[in-house]
Amino acid sequence: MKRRNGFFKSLRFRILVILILIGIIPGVLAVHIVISSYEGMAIKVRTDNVQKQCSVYAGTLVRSNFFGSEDHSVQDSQLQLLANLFHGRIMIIDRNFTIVRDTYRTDEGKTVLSPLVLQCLKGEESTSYNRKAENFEIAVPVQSPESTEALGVMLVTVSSREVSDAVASMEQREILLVGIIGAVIFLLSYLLSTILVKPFARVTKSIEDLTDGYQSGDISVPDYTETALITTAFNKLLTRMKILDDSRNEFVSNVSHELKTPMTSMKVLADSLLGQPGVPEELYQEFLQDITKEIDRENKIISDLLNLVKLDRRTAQMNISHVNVNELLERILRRLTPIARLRQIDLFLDCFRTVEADLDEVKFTSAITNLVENGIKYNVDDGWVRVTLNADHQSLMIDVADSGLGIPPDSLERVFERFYRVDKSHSKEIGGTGLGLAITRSAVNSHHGTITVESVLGEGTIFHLKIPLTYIP
Amino acid sequence: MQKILFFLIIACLFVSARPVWSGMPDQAESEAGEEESPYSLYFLSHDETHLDKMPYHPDQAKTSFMITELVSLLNSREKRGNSHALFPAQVQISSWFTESDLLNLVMTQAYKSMDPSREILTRVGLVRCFCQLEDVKGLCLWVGTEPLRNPSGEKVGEIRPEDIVELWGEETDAYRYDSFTLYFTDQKSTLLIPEKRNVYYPRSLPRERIILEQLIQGPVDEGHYPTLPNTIQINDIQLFEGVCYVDLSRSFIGQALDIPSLICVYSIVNTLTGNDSIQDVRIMVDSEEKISLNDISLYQYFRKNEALIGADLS
Repeated sequence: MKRRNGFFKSLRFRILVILILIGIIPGVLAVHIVISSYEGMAIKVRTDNVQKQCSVYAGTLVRSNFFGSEDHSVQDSQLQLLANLFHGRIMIIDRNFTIVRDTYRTDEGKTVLSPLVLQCLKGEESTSYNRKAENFEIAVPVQSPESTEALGVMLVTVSSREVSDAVASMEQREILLVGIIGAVIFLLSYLLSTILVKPFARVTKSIEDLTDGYQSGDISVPDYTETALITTAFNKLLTRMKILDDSRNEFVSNVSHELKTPMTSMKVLADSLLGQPGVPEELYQEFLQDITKEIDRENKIISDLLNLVKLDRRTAQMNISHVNVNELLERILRRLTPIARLRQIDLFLDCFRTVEADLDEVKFTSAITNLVENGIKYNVDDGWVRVTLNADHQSLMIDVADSGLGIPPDSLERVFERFYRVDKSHSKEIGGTGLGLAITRSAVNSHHGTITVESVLGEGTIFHLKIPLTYIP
Repeated sequence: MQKILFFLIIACLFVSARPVWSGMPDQAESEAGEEESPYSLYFLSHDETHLDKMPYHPDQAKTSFMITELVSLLNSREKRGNSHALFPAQVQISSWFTESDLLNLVMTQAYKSMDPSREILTRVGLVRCFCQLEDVKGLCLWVGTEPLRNPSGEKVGEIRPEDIVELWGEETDAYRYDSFTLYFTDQKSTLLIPEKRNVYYPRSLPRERIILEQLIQGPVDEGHYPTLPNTIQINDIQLFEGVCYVDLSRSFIGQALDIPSLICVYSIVNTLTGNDSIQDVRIMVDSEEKISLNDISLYQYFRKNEALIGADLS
């Protein structure tokens, strides 16, 4: 049942039906139109012919004074001959609506009531076609050119059996022909529909092969524009998936590496203590302090990672409130001032206006803190970090500029990646986990904001943040 | 979306087919509800070329009552639907009287001034209206004290329904009723046995054709045997100056029955010459004249052969 349904919904079935309909309907229509117009024309030709002959004969009747004389033997023969010629019946009707002559001789002397005769005596030649009785009637006035009134009417009934026989045989042929054409069209459309949908089957097959692992790399079915578009889109999807896969692998290896480094240090420190007996207590103290530092670092990395994961599952945990951004920035900078002072770095806050926005205060704070912290860490002594706040009617803009080391152009794109370090050799001295900017970007993105960076090596770096004033989940 | 479209199309078809569908039972209902009346009233069609028939329900089936009612109905010049009244203005039936089965209607003088074609319609309408009554077999029309005259000035005299031929399409009058004598044969195929037959046939077909068709169909009465194979087709049948030319299909010769050829040929000849206007019969087969049926040459004029006719024993 499901399969049958599938067939009726398929493109192939539709193509089949459309082709059959387009093939057969015009044919049937055309044949019908031709036959019916033939019928009309044949009847008209025959009617005209009979009418012409009868008009001529009606003239003869007037000249031979038919209605005046009693002896009709000559005209009787002529009428009979004419009737035989038409395969019909001729009646001569006088002005009193009495049938004077009838070639069937059954109704002579009777009074006739016929719409045709009535019309004809009023001066209109009239004909009527009776399809059911397979005949047509023609009424011709018997009228002398001198008088305006008709003397009588010649009513001719002519069998139209020849025409209807011809039409019947044509219709028979039509049925046969339509049958043959129908069969041929059915076969052709079956073949065509099979051929036409083949490329789609090929697309499906290629994709299935790919998922089953028979095939690797791009698929290509260039038969139609449509299939080419489908395969191109599919290939794009494949590429993106590959990139995702690669970045996941890199992330895993980075995490393992970062987690391993402190462990290795701890192991070395512990081993060296265990390796030599009678180590003085001061050395123990010193080594254990180092081990504690490493544990703290490990701890920091793990909590940052957890933080990052939390940020990735963003919308569900957004905790939005209406915040005065100026005050918030001031608080952040005040908190960071002690660290800055250690290296004689000045922190500035420039606010162009009072800005209030819907923000998740915790996430926003961690984003700005990370940026300013970075500004302090990667700075020269006696340098500065400047935070500028501005806003338009839609978004707030925060620039965090520093006078620091700057980022080399080839690393600019990658600084937001997890565990990416510009200068790997100095990372230990400077500290940090390599996750700060990744966290910042996640936090900004979760507010539907953007973050960009520009930097000149040796002069400083500016991060531009743009966050919408109102939060739309 | 496509499914919805599909259903819409089906629904459209269904809706458009419904009137045809529901029309039929409606009609049947109205016919069943209105008891079939044996009587009708006649009206003039809106284009004044024929008569329209409408049902008429008299309160009593007595002839004199119905004549009075019909006269007052016609005089009231009431219209029905699209049709006009039978009488034009001022034309009325002023009085009536019966003479045995003849009904005399006295019309007002305005009747004379009617147009001939209008008059014939009125005249036929009157005959149709009154002659459906049981005791009225004919009609005689008077204008004042004068009998009705036709445009040529001759007296019209009494008019009977069988003297009127209505020639138009669906009217039953386009059929006629006739009785013929057909000649079949007896069991031993020695003589021709007459068989009377009454036939109701379309006027548009010639009498001779009907007779011959009946003959080919074979006998109805018991003890009568067919003379012709019933596969014969009549190609043509013509009448000219007392001679009937019959053109039969080849099965007349090819599938002839096992009876003497004389009986076979004269069953046709005697049947056709039963009519006064036919003296001689010529038989052709597929337009071929010089042909013979076994030992009888068909290339001759056949006359009625009374010697072959036997008594109808049944």
